[in-house]
Order: sequence, then C-alpha cells, then structure tokens
Amino acid sequence: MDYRDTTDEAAFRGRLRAWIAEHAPGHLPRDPDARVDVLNQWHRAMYQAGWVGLTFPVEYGGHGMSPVYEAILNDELGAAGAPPPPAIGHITNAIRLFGSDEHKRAHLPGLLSSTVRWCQGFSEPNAGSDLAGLRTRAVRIEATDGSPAVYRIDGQKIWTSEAVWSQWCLLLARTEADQPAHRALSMLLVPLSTPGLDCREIITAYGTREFAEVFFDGAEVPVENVLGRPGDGWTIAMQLLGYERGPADVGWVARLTRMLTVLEDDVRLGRVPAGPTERRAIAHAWTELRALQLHVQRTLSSRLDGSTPGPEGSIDKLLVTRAEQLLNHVNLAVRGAAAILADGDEIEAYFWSRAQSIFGGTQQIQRNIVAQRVLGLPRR
Amino acid sequence: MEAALSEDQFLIVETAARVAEQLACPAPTELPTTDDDLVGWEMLTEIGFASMHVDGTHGGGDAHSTDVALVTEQLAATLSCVPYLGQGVLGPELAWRLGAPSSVLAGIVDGTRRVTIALDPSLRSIARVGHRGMAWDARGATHALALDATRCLCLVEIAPQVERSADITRVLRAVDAGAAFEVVSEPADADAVTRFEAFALAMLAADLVGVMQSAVDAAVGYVKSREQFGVAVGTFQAVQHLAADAKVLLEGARSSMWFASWASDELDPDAALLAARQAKAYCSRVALEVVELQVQLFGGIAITWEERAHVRVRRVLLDALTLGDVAFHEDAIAATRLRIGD
Ligand SMILES: Cc1cc2nc3c(=O)[nH]c(=O)nc-3n(C[C@H](O)[C@H](O)[C@H](O)COP(=O)(O)OP(=O)(O)OC[C@H]3O[C@@H](n4cnc5c(N)ncnc54)[C@H](O)[C@@H]3O)c2cc1C
Repeated sequence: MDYRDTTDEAAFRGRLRAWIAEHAPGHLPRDPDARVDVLNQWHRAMYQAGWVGLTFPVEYGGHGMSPVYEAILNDELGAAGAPPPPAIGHITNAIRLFGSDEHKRAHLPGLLSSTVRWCQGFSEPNAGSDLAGLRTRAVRIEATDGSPAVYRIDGQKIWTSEAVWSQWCLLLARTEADQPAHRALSMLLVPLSTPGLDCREIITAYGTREFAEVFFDGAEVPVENVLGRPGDGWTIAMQLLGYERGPADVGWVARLTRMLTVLEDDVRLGRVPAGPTERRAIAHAWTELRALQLHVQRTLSSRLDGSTPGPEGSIDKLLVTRAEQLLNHVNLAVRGAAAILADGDEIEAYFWSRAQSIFGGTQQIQRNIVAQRVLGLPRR
Repeated sequence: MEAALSEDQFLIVETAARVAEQLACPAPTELPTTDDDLVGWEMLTEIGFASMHVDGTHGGGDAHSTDVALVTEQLAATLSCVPYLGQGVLGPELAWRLGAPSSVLAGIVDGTRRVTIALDPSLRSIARVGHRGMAWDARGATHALALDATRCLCLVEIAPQVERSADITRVLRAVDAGAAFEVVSEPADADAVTRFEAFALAMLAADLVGVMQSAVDAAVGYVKSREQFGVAVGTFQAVQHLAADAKVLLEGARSSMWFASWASDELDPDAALLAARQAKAYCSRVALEVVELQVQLFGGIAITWEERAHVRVRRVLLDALTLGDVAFHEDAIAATRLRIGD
C-alpha cells in the first residue's frame, strides 16, 4: 500500500497538470452543437498530447500504463475544473477484447483520437432493465450472385446517447432465433449512415439534445461487422457494462470533482454567499466525493493484474450515484435562487445526477447485482 | 500509487482475525461484569499487538499505522471487549507522541501499566487536567492521559466506579476534577498533537469499519437462513437491496479508512489530519446507516438483548462521538478547504 505517486507517476502528474493549465477550455457553451464542437476539440487535443487510452495496450494505440494513471488523470482534470476525458473506455475495451484484428485496426484509432464518435444501441422501448428481452432483429441473408452475406436489421432502439453526433453504433440485436435468451444476441458494428437507419432526437428533461431513438428498417451491414461470434452479444454487453460502471473508466469522477471545485471556488471567492450550514454541507459533499475517489483508486489498484471488472463494479456505480446525487443537492441548496432562476448548468447537472441511477443499469439493478453476485443472496 | 493491501498486510489481517475470534464479545447476556479482562489483555500484549505503533527504541513494535488499523478493525469485527483501542493503541500513542519519559512509557508499552486516554465530557477532545473527564475504554486501567493548559502530558488517576455508557463493549470511568495527576512531559508542539489526532481518528474509523463488517456478515448470514413465506427472506428483493446498500457503504468506508490510516504515517500532519477527518466523518455517518440496516434485516430479534445487533449499534454510537462527531469534523473540513486565500 502506498498512495504516493511513484517517480514516474509524479512526473506524469506534473506534465499533465501543466498541460491542462494551458489547454483546458473554460466554460462550456450552453448550445449543444457548440458544446459538442468544444468537447470534440478538447478530446482531440487530449489525444494528441497523449492523455487518451492511458491503460490501453500500446499495440492498439494506447499507452499501456498501469490503471492508476486513469485515477491521476481523473484527479487532475477534476481539480483543474477541466472537462472530463472522452467516455470511450467501455467501447474501446469491448472492441479490444472481442473484435477481430480487422475491427481493431479499423476502429480503435478513430475511437481513441475522438475523430470517430460511437454510440451504444442497447435499450429499446420494451427492453430497458430487461435488456435480454430486446426485439431488434438482425437476420443473416446469405450471399447471392456476387453480393456478400449481410445482416438485415429491423427494429428500434431508444435512449441512444450522442447518436445524433456519432458515426457508428455498437448495436445489440437478436440474431439467433433458435437459441435461449442469453445466446440469441449478437453485437454488431453499424455505421449510422447505413440506408434504412433513421435517427430521431429526443429532447432531455433539461432541454438538451443528448439522446435519440434509432429506427432500423431493413438496414444492412456485412456479416464481418459482428463483434466476436454470433451469439456472443450478451457476454460482450455485460463485459462492456462492467467498464461503463467503473467511474474512472468513463470520467465521472473527474466530472464530479470539477463540479465541487467550481462550487468551492465560488464560495471561497465570495461569489456565492455561504453561512455555516452551507459550508458544512459542502464539506459533507467533499467527504462523500473523497470516499468515491479513494474507492475508485482501490478498484483501479486491484486491476493491476490486468483483470477485467467484475460484479464489484456495481459497488462503484452505487457510490457514484450516492456522491453525485448528494453533491447536486448541495450545489442547488448553496446556490439557491441563482441556480433556479438561471435554469442553466446547475439544473442540467442536477437532472444528470438523477439519470446516474438510471443509465448503465438502474440503481435497483445494481443492488440486485451486489446482493446476488457479491453477497451471494439467493435468486428467486 | 497502490491502494491495496500488501502480502504482509494480508498476513496481519489473518493473524488478527484469529486472535479476534478468541477475544470475541460473548453473548450480550454474558458480557464481562468485572472491570478487568486480564486474559485478553495479556494475549494482545504477548502477541505484540499492544503498542505496536510505538517506536522500537521505546519498546514498541515499530508497526505502520495501517497495520494498527487492520488489527483494530479485526478486533472490532468480533466486537471484542478487550480495551485494545484505548490502552493498546491510543494511550501508548499519546504518551509516545507527546514525549513521556521512558520511566512512564516503558510500563505502558510493555503492558504492565494500564493507561488509556481521558476525554472531556463532550468526548470531543483530550481532557484538561483539573476538569472532569472520561477515561475512555478504561476496563482494567489505573490511569488516563490528559493535558494541562500548556499542552503538557499528565498522568491522571481514574475513579474506581464504572460510568454508564451506551456502548457495553467499552468501559468508561470518570476522571474527577480533583483527581491526583502527575505532569510527565514538556509542553508538546502543535504538530505532535495533530499527529496524535490524525492517528486516533483513523483508528476510530478502523473500529467503525470492523463493526460494519460484522453487521454486514451477520445480517447477510441471517437472511440467508431465516425463512418466511416458505423461502429464505434473503430471496426478497426488498431485503436484498438493504443488504446491498450496507455492503456499498462498508466498502466506501473501508476505502476511506485505508487512506487515512496510511496518511497518518506518511503525510505531513495537516494533510494526515484532513484525511483522518474525512474518514472519521464518513465512517461515522455510514456506520450508523449500516448498523440500522442490519437491525432492519434481523427483524424483531434485533430488538432483544440476546441478539448482538444492538451491541453493534451501541459501539457505533460511542465511536461516532469519540474525538468529534460528523458535524464537528465537517465544520473543520470546511474551515480548511474553504479558507480564503487558498
Ligand atoms: C441519460 C441516459 C442515457 C442513456 N444512454 C443510453 C445509451 O447510450 N444506450 C443505451 O442502450 N441505453 C441508454 N440509456 C438507457 C438506460 O440504459 C435505461 O434507461 C435503463 O437500462 C433502464 O431502462 P428503462 O428506462 O426502460 O427503465 P425500466 O427498466 O422500465 O425501469 C423502470 C423502473 O423499474 C425498476 N426495475 C426494472 N426492473 C427491475 C428489477 N428487476 N428489479 C427491481 N427494479 C426494477 C427500475 O429500477 C426503474 O426504477 C440511457 C438512459 C439515460 C437516462
């Protein structure tokens, strides 16, 4: 046990801190398109400076560093109030672990450099928590007179985050009609420009364009676009969700630290008045956030042997939820009328904190996992 | 950065767990009624757990603060009534840190002299001599350590009778305002006191983590075997979710406590104190949630004297208050982090 940086880690932290101070964008624009542009530029700049894919193997364009560097990255971004890193840990790892050499060659560079955006098409109107019940079909059509074999996709996805800004979709669809539920699904790599695919924005509760419905009406992709083998879809999805639940993997810790840093600065500099009750509440939020950071460091340290996230990741996800929802209550309470009347970033962050216990598997689903797979309580 | 136990630390946990099993709190109906518990105390002294953090040159064990936390946690996990934290950890630490002479320190460290810390009646800080105080975890102790106005360490006599306290695993005894005392050190510098505080808060956090672990283990074991409606109650989702929440809080607490206990020996006093305040505040808050979840999971039996559930609640209530409650530490955290000019 040693929480101190090694010489290499300290050097990395120093370089990173200096780089962030010089390059981090200031306030993010409210306008969603403008914001995506700023974030894209930020992520590309991060990539070019070598801060993306830290733990990703070198052979696939990453830096092959120990998982604790992700914790350092999250610390430094958050403490500087910089935007989070690109949330690509889950998709890049899915492609790394299950993709063919051709998939990795074709897709990992664009993902890491944030030049190609991906979205995740899992949920459907009738398959949310019960993901295995999804109905979107991909039927294999064998090659005829020179045209190659394809999957023809019909169905509908919903809540697909960032679909409107993405070029590719990681799609979970039913391919194996004769197999039991968990062997019937496959993971397909689908360009959003595919004919027969239609993306319709959904406006979020906070008025932004965050996610979309995606309709498939005979959209066809080559059979080579299956990730892993046909029927592996469920396994891949569960592995990917393991990464998505790890707060460090998708930049949540950085985002929350940033929010608290900004609030603390505002109070310290007198921009937001705060009496003893408010100050204590801020300290409470810090106490919870700190527990989350320390827990994430522990999770990352336990992954040093290269193991992939297990059901314990749900503990991390539940800790993020607790810290984030408390932090947002405190943020609104301390900022008071100013936040309510502005209906701006604070309200958006607040709604996002409520979404934290819904996306990536709801709080109830995470509790099921902890109870049954970590504590070993009996399933019904 | 490595936030994980080393192999050596795993061994300490294993050994401590075995010892703790032997020193486990008996059934609440058979709690020790005498004020002493010599067998347990001698065992901890012989095995080298008592005074293990004190410098080797003073006869201590030279152990890392994290190792002491791991031992403390294991003893708490069996709700042990042996006064380890008071007399094996905090008493020796205060005597050593504040520079008690070897004539005083030697007996404390070798376990022949039973000395704990004295707290002011709010239990928030080390007692002042000349004022009424509480000797904390004083089973079998003859003296307690307090400070005078110039931060000199004083060895104070403890009153014989046992005071009432919610925690039935620890004995509290009064230190009277007029109790005889002996000044045993020069005025301590502020850093030494801060170091002691940081260490003590981290160890209290470890005690809380141990109690939480015991609550989660006991409650999960119980709901796996208790049947209602023809099935184990642990099958019900409402029950599973309570257990899951308890587990999540336990692990967040453990992660905080590990860092604070490491920081105590490794960081400068102010940074160590901030880490310790975070751990103490977080662990105190969530420990109460966890032991209350445990009560709910046990159902009616949790409200009986025979079942240990209330013993855990009681220990958490006292630990949470000892050396400052959640609000006290969060105010201190706010004062540090929101200081103007930083
Ligand atoms: C901001 C946001 C972004 C998202 N991004 C994506 C994305 O990019 N790609 C994607 O595929 N999906 C995405 N989702 C969808 C998300 O994964 C689903 O919303 C989630 O899995 C829950 O499904 P549902 O909304 O259908 O709720 P339901 O499953 O209908 O749940 C309704 C309520 O019932 C509870 N419930 C359901 N089943 C159980 C059970 N077994 N035990 C106990 N309680 C249960 C739930 O906890 C919840 O409280 C996103 C959602 C949000 C809010």
